[in-house]
Amino acid sequence: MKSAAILSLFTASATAFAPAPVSTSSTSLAGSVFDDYVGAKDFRGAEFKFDPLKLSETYEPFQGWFRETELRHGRTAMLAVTGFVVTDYVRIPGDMYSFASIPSTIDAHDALLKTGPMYQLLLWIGLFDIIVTAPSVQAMGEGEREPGGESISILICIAFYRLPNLFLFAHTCMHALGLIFVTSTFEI
Amino acid sequence: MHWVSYLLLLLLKYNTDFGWSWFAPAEKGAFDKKREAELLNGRLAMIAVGGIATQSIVTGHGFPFL
Repeated sequence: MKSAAILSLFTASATAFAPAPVSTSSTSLAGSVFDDYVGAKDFRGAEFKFDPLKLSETYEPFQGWFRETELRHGRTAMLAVTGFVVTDYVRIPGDMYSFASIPSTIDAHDALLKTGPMYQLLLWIGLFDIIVTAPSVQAMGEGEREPGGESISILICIAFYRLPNLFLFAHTCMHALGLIFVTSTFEI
Repeated sequence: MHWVSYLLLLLLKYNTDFGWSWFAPAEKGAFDKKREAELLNGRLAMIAVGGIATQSIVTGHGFPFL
């Protein structure tokens, strides 16, 4: 139910310029989102209720989705900034990760696409998003989970209980990929 | 690749809280302050990572990106 609603978020962006949601802005209270959630402060600690496009009122059912995406992007970006700075000084062992082969961090993505494990990273992160992220977002949409909350193990439990078919599909994919790998490596 | 499912089943067995909230304050006001700090650091980092990517392409240098 709610996954369909979240899917309709992407279709709703196509109809964002339609003049339909005029009446919602007149009925909703100003700044009600900032009373429910934390985050209405700027970097000086002063009050800062920043929503100039009134997105939280126009797309009111997706407030949790917006909050989830902000937290997720923010956490990823905090890790990314740390990673950008640290890899200028320390590299993990290995010839293809050394300063000789990749002098600048910004070239690491393109270089490791050719020689490194980038496709394997894509596979595992994609599996994580299918098995963990999608059901957690669904549970967040149904109100069973705070946006950005809960630990991974609980989300894996949700994945087990809610999407067993998807887990079996992912498991089958792993077996198929392993079979392809073995047969292509040893030329069976 | 069966070790993956064993790992997941191990996580299922110990599916309670991992106790990784030892750094979180107990009372609600202090906890909300930590959440504010997470959001503000995250917003700053979202802008910063764009700046880092842009400046390291433009200048081609390392950490200070100048």
